Amino acid sequence: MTLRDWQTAATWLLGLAGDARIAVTSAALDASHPLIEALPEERRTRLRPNGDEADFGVVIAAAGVTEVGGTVHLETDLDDRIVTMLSRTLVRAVAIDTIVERLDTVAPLLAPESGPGYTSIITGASRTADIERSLTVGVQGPITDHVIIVG
Amino acid sequence: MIRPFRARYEAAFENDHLATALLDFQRAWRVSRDAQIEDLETELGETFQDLRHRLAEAKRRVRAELEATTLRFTEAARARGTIVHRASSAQEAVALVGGICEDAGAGIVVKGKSMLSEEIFLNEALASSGITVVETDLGEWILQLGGERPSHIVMPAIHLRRQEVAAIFERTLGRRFDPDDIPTMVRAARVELRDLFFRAAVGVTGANFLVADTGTVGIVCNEGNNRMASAIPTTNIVVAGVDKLVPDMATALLQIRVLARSATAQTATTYTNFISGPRPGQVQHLVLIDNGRSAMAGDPGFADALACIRCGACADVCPPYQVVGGQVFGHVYSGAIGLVNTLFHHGLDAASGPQGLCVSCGACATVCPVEIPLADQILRVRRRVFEAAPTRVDRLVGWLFGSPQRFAAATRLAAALGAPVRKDRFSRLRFPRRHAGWRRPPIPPWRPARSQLRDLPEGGSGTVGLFLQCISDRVAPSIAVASAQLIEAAGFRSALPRSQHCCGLPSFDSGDWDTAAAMARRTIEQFEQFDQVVTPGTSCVVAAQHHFVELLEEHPGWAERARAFAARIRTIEDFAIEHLDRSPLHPGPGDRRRPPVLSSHQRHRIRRPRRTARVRRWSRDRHARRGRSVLRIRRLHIVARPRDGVRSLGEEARCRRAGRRSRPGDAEPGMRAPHRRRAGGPAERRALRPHR
Repeated sequence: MTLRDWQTAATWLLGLAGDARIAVTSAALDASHPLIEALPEERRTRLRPNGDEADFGVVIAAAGVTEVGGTVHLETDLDDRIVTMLSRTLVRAVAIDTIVERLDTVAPLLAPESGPGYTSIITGASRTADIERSLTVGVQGPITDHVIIVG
Repeated sequence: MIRPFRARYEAAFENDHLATALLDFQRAWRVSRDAQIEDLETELGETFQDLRHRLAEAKRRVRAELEATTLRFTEAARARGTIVHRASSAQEAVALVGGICEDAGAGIVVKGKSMLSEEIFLNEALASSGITVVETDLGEWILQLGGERPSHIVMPAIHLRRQEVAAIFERTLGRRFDPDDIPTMVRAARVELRDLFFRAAVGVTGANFLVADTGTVGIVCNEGNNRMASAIPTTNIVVAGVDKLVPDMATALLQIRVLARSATAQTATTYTNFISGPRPGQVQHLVLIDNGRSAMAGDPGFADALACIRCGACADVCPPYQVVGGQVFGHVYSGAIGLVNTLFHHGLDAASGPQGLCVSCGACATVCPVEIPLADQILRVRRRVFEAAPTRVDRLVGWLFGSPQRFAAATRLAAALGAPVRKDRFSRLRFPRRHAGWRRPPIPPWRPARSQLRDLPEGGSGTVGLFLQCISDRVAPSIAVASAQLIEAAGFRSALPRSQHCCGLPSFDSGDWDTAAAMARRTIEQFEQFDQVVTPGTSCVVAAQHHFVELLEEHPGWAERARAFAARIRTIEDFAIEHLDRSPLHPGPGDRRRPPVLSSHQRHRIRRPRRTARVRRWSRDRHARRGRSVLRIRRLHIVARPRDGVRSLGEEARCRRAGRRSRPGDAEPGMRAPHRRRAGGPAERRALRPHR
């Protein structure tokens, strides 16, 4: 879905989440991302890596890649990864001006210059076809997955 | 541990469901995969051939400087904080991983899907030191609970029915599962495994690629279990073969582009993870494993197999795999690649049984995203198996085909014995099914082609050498006689060297390269005097053009002669297509006759007597119905409609019927029939149309 700006995105997100609190990543919080800022503090939550799931999670993609229909996420900290891993409904937000055509363009994001790093390209909900090739979503992570394109 | 080959083989035929399920899968895969490859070609403006060549070349360069690349990767990974270990053997690797787990105080280890861990039997080793290993990929988890082994590289539990999965779940989880409710079964995995990710002290994963430039470990997955297994436990162990090294990120992206498309026919997997070092608060170990890979890299006959990216495509098009499944067609690794790399990872004994299942159709090599010549490599494995311990059947093949006298005597004996039950010239012997199954050998006729064609000269300038092919000669002579007539019809004189026999392909296919080389040399010697050699035996042409040079490489001076012979021999179809337009049969300018129609068909197939007897039985019963067969010898006629006033060279009315179904102009000059085809029936007719 394409939304005009981060404020609109936040409004849409709150509507979708209903009463659920929205798990956000520390990276987005620390960076004071406009989408996170636009969410009321009491509606935000942090997910801890202790086995708990979030009903609802939102992450900000570093880029989008049309070639694979995926979003690129920098998630070096476990606290950040846990949101994409353990939100039952996951919303991936990507700014329209970060969307590129080819994987090659995002190559520099895939490994940092130095130090540890973790980059994922995500294209949808967790899925499996291991039982009689029957496609089933939500085997481990998100059961519902949204991408919002903002801008 | 893996059960003996024979036991696995027998069990596969007890399973009625297996072949049907795998057939459905292969058909579906083919359609989706082809669509994906087409999309990729459009997207990148580059053909699949070029893409896979580029990837194969990149991986070839890594192999050429394996040690340097390994060191480059090691340095880069260490700079990111990864502890890199190297293990030369499976024993060393499991000892290393076991030691790390012990140091981490691991009671529970969660695992992502890793073929390498299967290769080194890691689960068994860890379990024997009291560690609870839990597979977290759904398919692998089901297999672990059921005490089974993967039957496909990317879809490990593809051989199981949902009823079997439900039964496994009921047994281990102690509650009822409805086999028709797959989502509930999937959710059970989610619930049961979730807690374990957080209780495990160690997470073990494999790797899809290792980027030497950046020290990055790449893992693709759909379920997300790999991400959790690698990220959550405080100790992470990556086990990877040195074959997973790629020089740079660009090569990694190229691999990503073909991997998911070839594996699951997806554009990309749900998750593609680039792990550069441990997360904060984590210790990350990487165990780089050789286990026979250096030996493979150093063996020119097999080195290309190290490029394998474990997509499983070779299994997805393989006819015998489809019949017996991956627990039989392979050892730890299944599919065509398993028939090759087992030799290096698990030894000759383990490779010996499965390699005999390959029927050399070559389909695997056409879909391989890193252009591994798998069918050729399997024949090289077979040679080693034969040289170590030839089976009775393989020795019999060499004994029978190796001598013209013995082969003549055997076919005459068969003709005499079969005479009482012969109905027409192509009768087959019928045994009670229980005793013989597929075995319905043809009854050879009294007069071989060489006596029917005894008026032909032995040679002479300007003549076309007719290579009869052993089977056409003695078992289906009308094919050879029609070939001679066709050569004459095209305006040439044919010649028949009397001492010709067999090209040696039966021995070559049995792994008996010494006998095959002797036969190849004899064939080359007898036909070297001709500028053109023509044969109705398509498989002989394949042997001459595809295998003779390799076969004779170790014979000084012969490789060159083999190359020259390969350039001169071709099938009667190719010969006819080229020359018929200039033949007296072809209407000249102003001539109102229609051009002659060339048709070939393969009603009477003869299959190689290999030990895949039951595969063949299946193949005949089911594959044949959908127009696929494994190897065949065709009959060939020129068919022309009598009302056109053209003399018919065909012998049988049914061939005329076949001819009437063909359209005029089917046999345009310049069209070539491909030599190696899997398809029969309709495809056979297509072969004479333009090659798309």
